[in-house]
Amino acid sequence: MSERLLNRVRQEREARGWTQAALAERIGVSRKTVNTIENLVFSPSALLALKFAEAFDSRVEAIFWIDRS
Amino acid sequence: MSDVEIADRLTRRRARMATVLGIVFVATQGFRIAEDQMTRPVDYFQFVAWGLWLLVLLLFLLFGGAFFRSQAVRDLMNDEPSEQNRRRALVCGFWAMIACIFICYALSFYEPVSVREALHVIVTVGVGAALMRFGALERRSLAE
Repeated sequence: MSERLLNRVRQEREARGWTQAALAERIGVSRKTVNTIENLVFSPSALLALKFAEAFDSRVEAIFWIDRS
Repeated sequence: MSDVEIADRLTRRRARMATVLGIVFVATQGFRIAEDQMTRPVDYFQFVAWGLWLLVLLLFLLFGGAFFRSQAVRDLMNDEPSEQNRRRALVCGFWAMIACIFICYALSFYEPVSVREALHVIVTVGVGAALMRFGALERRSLAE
């Protein structure tokens, strides 16, 4: 059974009308970090995941979850 | 222009540069290895130049360049995905060197290979492969 970390960063960002650069500015990371997380190229650290949840004023489990399919 | 925009622009440039530097380094050193003799003063100059170039490339690979930019911009350039890409690139360079060591060892049964020639080939291939891999991974990370 493979496990993957999925997220709804893109949906949350687009729902707020933010660009990747705008979200990156808010969190204090590079646009590349946002891009790689949205495209599931990179799994963020706990610290980074918490920063994303904080930016969306949401709980981290609502933004990131484990896919066990 | 904000730090995020500056870092984004510099990261794109770094990704292109890493690939080009890796290719140029391997290509030019390939010619140097073919005529590897230390008989003329110019040969010693070339050896020192190679060492300096190698040092600069290693610093670029390990620390990500942009040494004259602010700490904030460098932190943004060397973010978590870049650190991961760097680790993968270094692993790729390591395996390229191991493969090269085996090739040099096997070749030594048929053709005499000096220690200097072998080291030159191994280091060139290892650093070149790591640079090219880092460039490719960074470009992939930047792709929309």
